[in-house]
Amino acid sequence: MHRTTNGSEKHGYATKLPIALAALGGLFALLGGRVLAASAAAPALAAAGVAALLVSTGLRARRGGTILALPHGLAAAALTVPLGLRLAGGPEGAATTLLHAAWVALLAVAVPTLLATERAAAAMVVGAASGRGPLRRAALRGATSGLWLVAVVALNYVASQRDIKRDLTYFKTTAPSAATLATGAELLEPIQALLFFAAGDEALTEVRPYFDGLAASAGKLEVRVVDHALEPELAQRLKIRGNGWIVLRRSGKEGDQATERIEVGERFEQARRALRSLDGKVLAALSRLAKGDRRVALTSGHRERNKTGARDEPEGQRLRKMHDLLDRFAIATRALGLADGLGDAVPDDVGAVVVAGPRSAFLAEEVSSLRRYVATGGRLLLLLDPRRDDGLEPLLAALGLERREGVLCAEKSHLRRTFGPADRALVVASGYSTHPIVTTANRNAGRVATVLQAGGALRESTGAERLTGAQVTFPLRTEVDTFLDRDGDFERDEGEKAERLEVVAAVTIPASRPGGRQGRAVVVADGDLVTDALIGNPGNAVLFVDALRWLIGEESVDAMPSDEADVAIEHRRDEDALWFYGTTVVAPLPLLAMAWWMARRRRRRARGGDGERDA
Amino acid sequence: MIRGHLEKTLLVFRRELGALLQTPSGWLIGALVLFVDGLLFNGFAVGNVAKTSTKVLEDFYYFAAGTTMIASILFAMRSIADERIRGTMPLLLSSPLPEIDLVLGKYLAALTFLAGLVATTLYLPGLIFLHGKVSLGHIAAGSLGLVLLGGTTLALGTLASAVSRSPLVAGVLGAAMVVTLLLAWMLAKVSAPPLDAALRHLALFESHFRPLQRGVLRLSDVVFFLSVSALALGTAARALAAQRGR
Repeated sequence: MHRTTNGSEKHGYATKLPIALAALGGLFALLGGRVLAASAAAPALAAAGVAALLVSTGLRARRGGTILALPHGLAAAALTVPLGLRLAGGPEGAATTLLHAAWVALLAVAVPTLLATERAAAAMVVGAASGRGPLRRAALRGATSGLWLVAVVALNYVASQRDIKRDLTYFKTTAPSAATLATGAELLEPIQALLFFAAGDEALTEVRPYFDGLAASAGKLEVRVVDHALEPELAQRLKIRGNGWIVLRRSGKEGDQATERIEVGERFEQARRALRSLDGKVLAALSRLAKGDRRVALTSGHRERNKTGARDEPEGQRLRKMHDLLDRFAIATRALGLADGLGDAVPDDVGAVVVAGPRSAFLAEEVSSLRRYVATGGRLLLLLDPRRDDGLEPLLAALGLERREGVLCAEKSHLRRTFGPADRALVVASGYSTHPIVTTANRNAGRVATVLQAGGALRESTGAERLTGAQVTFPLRTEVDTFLDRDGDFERDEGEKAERLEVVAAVTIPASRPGGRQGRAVVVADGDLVTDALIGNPGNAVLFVDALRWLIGEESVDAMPSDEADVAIEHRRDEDALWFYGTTVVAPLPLLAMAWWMARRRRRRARGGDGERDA
Repeated sequence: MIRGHLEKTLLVFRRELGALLQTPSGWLIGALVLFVDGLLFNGFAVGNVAKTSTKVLEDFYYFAAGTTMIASILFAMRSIADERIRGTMPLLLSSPLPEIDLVLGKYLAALTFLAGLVATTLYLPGLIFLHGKVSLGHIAAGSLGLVLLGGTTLALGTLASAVSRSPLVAGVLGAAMVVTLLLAWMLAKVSAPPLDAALRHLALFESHFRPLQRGVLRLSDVVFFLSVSALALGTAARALAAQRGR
């Protein structure tokens, strides 16, 4: 017992040496067990740690009793286990794992108990009311904290081992679209859909309803579930290596031309991505089986946009996605250049000719060939930039059209990509008429719009070169804020009038002889309409597909296969302003108003209280 | 006994919630959080490049986690430490209410206010529905993650408040504890087994909030947040008990 500076007496628990020894013991154990575990001195350090704790235990037993000695002893006992295991050569096994868990748990209880009891001992003042009570309570608090920690760790361990997981992200298997249902309904030969899945496969629960829905309207479609393990011979004939595949085949026929395969994936996690775009794949497969390949020719040799692009061409200028889209509708492509007869006559085996954004001039002979082609029942799709050096003015004149001067820009109805003035040339147009080439866009009015990038505008011409009987309509117009920029500054200057502009024209030419076919042409005043940068926009894709189907002669039911894949959110300048001010100014206002009102109430109450005091 | 504790906790809860709703600072913090969330939604989540709607939603929850944690620290730092500044600590300590009921009542009041704040930000992911494809499940998982993360931060802040002399110290201490748990994943990278697994499990954001941010609900994450909150609140109650001399 000794006196403190303020005259009070303190119990002679002499807390400094036992705590110092315990801390030293812990330090040696840490050095020996973790920091210097690989060194030769590690066992000695660990043993020194245990020894220090045993000494502090002894000291506490002499000066303090069981309550103070017990935590030191438990810590020493806990640290003996890893030392013993190390000296025994670190045997592997479940028993060793349990021992490791046990000593860590014991230490987790001992350390907080030790700290709590030593803290209580250091603060104790001798008196009748003191004694073991505060120490017992401190020991209980420390032990409880330690046990809580052990329980939390154990609970987390069990939860992580027996984890239950649910993926709640957006997922939906596509349903059969109108295009697919129509293709199914038009089947002339029976087609079999074999779903290679084991009974109970989670992916099958998504795929089966799709095909049941399709079979309900496609009278000649038969659906059957096949387990690869139970029918290995059939799987081998169809070249299927396992479950998770869909095979569509013409019934009773073998061979690659009679069979289409779609991989979905056996496990649901794997199948999610494929299931989102299942309808597009089924449509393509059914189209190929039912109709065979239809063919369009893409002109070449005039620096047209194409699938591979030039080396220095940005990837967004390529036509990879357009080719994927054509593939979905089972429309094959071939090149049509001078070497393929473009200078003489367009071959007979093409359903339509597409001129995709040429950047150098056509020869006069090529232009004449295309003019003769469309005049005699051919089908032509022209995607043209506002430039006039591609040599196609005579062809346009024959169709009763001409390009207006200037680049199409908009003051408000444009996208925002770079947030610079050039964004004004990314025009959004949704003024659709009732022409067949905008049928799908019309059906989805309000949800789709066509984007044109540095496009132009068209107008009807009545020159002498116009083919007899050519009828021109304009199925797509822009909004009222668009103008044709002539000086390249993207600003509407004097002389650049804001008006609705015609950007797509559809032309029909009467058959040149009795029983002949009507010539058709679609002209779009933007060579970038179907490049990879823009075709992801549904308004561009459906316009392109509907235009092709009108040209080929398959007027659209609905050009869009259903697709549940995630979409990129595009920005529009007018919407951006609304979102910004709405989310940063309007939304916090009610809470700010409440803060102001509460502050005012508080001031009133304070003033009211002062008034009462004054009274 | 449980019913008794429940009644006492509710007593404290009602009083504290009423105090929170009637102080200007709570509403001001809420308004600031909404303002900053709006700025970050436009500038960061939606941004100036076309992103898929799922990515926009994930980015929203990424920065909303930051604002929620900051708001939680601000709400928690005053919960107990403020009593010392105002001189009402002796009243609190001499109250007949058990410490756990005091702590739990204060915590639940702050958590309710925080959950209400998270609910007011739901219109932002709701905007994504206009042009994108996201699921209500993903929004629910992300919002649950915000509440759980905010709740755990609140609990750690309450513990800091219980052992600190002033709200400022409580705020700093609480922030330090939260940042340590946030950075545990970095420590895990430079640690040897089995310590690395333990540290990785402690990583509040990387290991346990990220899945919820991505719309994946896991039992282990919910257990982690709830158990760490319980541990922090229990420790806060024991700290108060120690101050009472029990």
